[in-house]
Amino acid sequence: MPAEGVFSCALTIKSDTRYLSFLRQWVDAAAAAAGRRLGGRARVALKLALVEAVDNAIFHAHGGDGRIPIKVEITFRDDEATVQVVDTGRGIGHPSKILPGLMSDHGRGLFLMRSMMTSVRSRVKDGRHSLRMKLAI
Amino acid sequence: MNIEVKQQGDIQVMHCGGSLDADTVTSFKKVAYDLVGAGSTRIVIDCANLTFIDSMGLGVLISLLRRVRQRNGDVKVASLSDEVKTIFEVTRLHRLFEVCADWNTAVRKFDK
Repeated sequence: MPAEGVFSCALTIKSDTRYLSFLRQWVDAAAAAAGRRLGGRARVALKLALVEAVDNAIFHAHGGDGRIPIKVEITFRDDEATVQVVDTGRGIGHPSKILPGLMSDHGRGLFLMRSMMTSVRSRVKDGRHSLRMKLAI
Repeated sequence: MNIEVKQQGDIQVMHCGGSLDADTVTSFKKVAYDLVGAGSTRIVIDCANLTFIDSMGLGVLISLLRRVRQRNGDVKVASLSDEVKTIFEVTRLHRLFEVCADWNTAVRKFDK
C-alpha cells in the first residue's frame, strides 16, 4: 500500500505510439487526482520525460515490436514527482546532458529527459530495464 | 495532428494543430517534404494550435530546415505555445529557427 500522502498510478501499454497522446492526458489526470497543481514547466517536464522514455522503449528497447508491453508509473509525493518506465531493453547507461549539434536531427530525447528532470536513473535487472526520473515540485 | 497548408505568394504556411510527436511525425514529414519536392523553399510553420512536440518532432523540423537551406530557402516558426517554446529553448532551437510572433509576421519577414 502506498504511504499516506503519496499518490501512485501505474498502467501497462503496448509498444505503440498511439498511446502517447493518452499518456500526456494521463499525467494531467494523475496530478489532479493527487491534488497537485503543477506549474507550466513541471507539466512540460513530466509529459516530455514520459513520452521520450516511452519513445525510447518502443523504438530502441523493443525495436518497434508492438506486442511487447511497457509498464509506466507516476508517483506524487510532497515535494517530488517520479515517472518510471519499464521495458525489456538493455538500458541507456548514463543519459547525456550534452546537447547534440544544432543541425543534428536526432539524439535529443535523452538530453531532454536529463535536462528537464531533476534526476534520471537507468537500471537493468532480471532482463527488465527501468528508467526512473524524478522531478522536484 | 492536423495540418492545413495555405499559400501566400511563393510562401507556404503550414498551420499545424495537435501534437508533433513520434505518432504524427510521418504525416508531417509527408506534407512538408511534398512541398519541398514541389519546389517550395520558403516555409512558415504556424504552431498556434500545436500543443506538444517531442524529440522526433524537433528532428523532423531540423531535417526540413536542412533540406530547404540546401536550396537557399528558409523555415520560420510562429506562435509557439508556452509548452513548445520551453522545449525549443531547452534544446536551443530558438537559435536555429527564426521564431516569429505569428504567421503573418513570419510571412512579412520573408518579404523583407
